[in-house]
Amino acid sequence: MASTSASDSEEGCLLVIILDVHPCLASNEGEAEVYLNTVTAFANLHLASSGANRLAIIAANHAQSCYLYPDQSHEEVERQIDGRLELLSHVDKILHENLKKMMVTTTIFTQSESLIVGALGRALTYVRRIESEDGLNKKINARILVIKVSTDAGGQYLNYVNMYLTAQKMRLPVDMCVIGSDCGLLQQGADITGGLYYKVNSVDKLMQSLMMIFMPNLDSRRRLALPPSGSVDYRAACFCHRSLVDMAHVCSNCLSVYCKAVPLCSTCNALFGMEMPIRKPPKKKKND
Amino acid sequence: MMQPDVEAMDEDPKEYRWESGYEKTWEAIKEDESGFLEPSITEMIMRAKRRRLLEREASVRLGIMRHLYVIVDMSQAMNEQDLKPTRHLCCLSILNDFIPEFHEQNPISQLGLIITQNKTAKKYSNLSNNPQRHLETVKKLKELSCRGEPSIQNSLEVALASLKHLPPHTSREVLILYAALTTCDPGEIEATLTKVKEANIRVSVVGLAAEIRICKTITKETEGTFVVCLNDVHLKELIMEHLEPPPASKKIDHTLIKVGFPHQINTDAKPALCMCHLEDLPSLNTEGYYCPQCSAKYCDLPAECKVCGLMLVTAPHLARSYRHLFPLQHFTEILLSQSSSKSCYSCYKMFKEIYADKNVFQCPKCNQIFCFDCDIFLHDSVHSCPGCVSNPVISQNYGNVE
Ligand SMILES: [Zn+2]
Ligand SMILES: [Zn+2]
Ligand SMILES: [Zn+2]
Ligand SMILES: [Zn+2]
Ligand SMILES: [Zn+2]
Repeated sequence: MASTSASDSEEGCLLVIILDVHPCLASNEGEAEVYLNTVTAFANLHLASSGANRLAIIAANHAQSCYLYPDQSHEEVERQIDGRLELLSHVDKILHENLKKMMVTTTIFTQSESLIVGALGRALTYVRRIESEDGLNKKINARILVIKVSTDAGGQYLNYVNMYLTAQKMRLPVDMCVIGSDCGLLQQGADITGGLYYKVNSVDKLMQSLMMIFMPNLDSRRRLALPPSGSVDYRAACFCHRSLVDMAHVCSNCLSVYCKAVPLCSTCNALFGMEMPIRKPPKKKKND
Repeated sequence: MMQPDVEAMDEDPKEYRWESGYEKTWEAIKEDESGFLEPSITEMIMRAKRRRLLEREASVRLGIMRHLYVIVDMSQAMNEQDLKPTRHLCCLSILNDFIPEFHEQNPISQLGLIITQNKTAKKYSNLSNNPQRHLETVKKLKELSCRGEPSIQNSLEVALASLKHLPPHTSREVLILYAALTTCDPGEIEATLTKVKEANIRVSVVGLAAEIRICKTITKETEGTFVVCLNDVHLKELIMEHLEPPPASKKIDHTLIKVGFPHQINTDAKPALCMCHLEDLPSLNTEGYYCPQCSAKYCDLPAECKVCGLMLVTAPHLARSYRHLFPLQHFTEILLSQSSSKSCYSCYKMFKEIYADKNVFQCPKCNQIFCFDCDIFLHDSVHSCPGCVSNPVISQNYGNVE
């Protein structure tokens, strides 16, 4: 653990950026341009800061998720690139091309939220593949950064939790940078996976935050005084009223949450007998 | 009072591989010069895993509130070095991974540890949903030397004494990690087996060495499983399979269980001692979780409140179990030539026309194509399909549970 900073520079870091490109960006064209240029500049800085660093960018809007970089149709070109600068301008080109393609294929405008969770799932398997291709001896330092602009409708909770707990198991931190309004769901994700959560007030502050907070690798973060993350709300919503509760009754068969005792589980149809008090295992001191 | 029981050895000796010269099935499989097993064995294990995932019936009712005793053979047979570094240390390091994972995936379940050596059995860790306590026990067991003979009967009696008093809605399970080829029991094991069956306890055995008749009988009678491992990777695989709850026995009643969702403490709270590290030198700090009923403080969840007995869990951990209610549907295995995809939808791996990618996997809901590794990983660990959750139409009707 202590020596990771040395290996960091040798092995590099795989950064997977999950980029929200919700159509709401289109409402302010100037802002959208600043947003995309900032992220591209940040991606370039990551690649430029170490020859061993690696990058992937997956975009998500309300209709789909999509790999922006790497792009397999450009693999041949990439193999011939030897200069770092040449690579960077190549990355810029691919990002803009693919973003344009993505915007064109999704013309229908709806109000629904971006499918960040789909991109997150793809990012997990991407990191896992790169790690296994690199072999067992070399552990690449991977992390995911989610940049979100759209507001959150709170759907897909279960899918988010599945992604978070998988990332936690992979010891893969997921950083969350939200622009505009707070997002409790992403805040939980950063807390569960050991990543950072930070809210940026407006797009023009984004670059500064990315540089100060999300650029440093995991080791140097421990030495930085980062803003406190505040407390995370881990209460559950009951199945009956969808209200948040801090104590509840759960069905012993399917774990559905009820705010009051009910005679029948509406999820799995289990009939309940009398409620059992929580029973402590008998303490048999004489045997131990 | 304890006489060696040779019963395990004297029936049908021909049936057992270890007697006919193969101590282990896998010794028939050649190692190459560098000591690596041929890829075929890894492939075999992965294939078997996919088959098991397919077999796991989605609609089966699961007794999710589990009470599991892991019985570890600590007899001299565990000193063998066919698993690295020894069977003893190999097993314990797998348990080290198994325990936190078990509590994470089974948030309201409890685990306990029993060891058997010198013809006796002893409980080392009481049933609880406190992974920390079990991990400390595992650490202690690493120091303990393996000696004498094990006793299956004594082990089962210890587990029985604790499991039989549990409320009727719980799933009662025993998992035995067994290396010896015999068991040294004080009396008729059939009598114990009858009691175990009456108490509705499911006994499974993971064998480290060979198939033993008595283990076969016990697992068959109690509807458990009995498998012998091929190597250390396989052993881990077999033990980790017990993370999934078994199909619920029909005799299980259901009930409502009271749980608490503790608040994570905010920074302006008063510093407090946590209940989990009272025995070490505790430090006063403000980080942690408060029991909503009695305000005792804990560093990690899940936990069982030591003061008021409330089960403390978080919403994400409960939600983790909902995959049993909304399982990820199986993908269809198709030929790569039948699909137009050039790469795996999820990990973006380019498919090559070589053996490894000849078959690819298609999600029946979103129709996206996945590679073999992603198919296993998504069904085994993630439980969500990245294709479905990237699809606005499917994702709106899918897994929207809070
Ligand atoms: Zn309610
Ligand atoms: Zn239920
Ligand atoms: Zn309490
Ligand atoms: Zn894949
Ligand atoms: Zn799908």
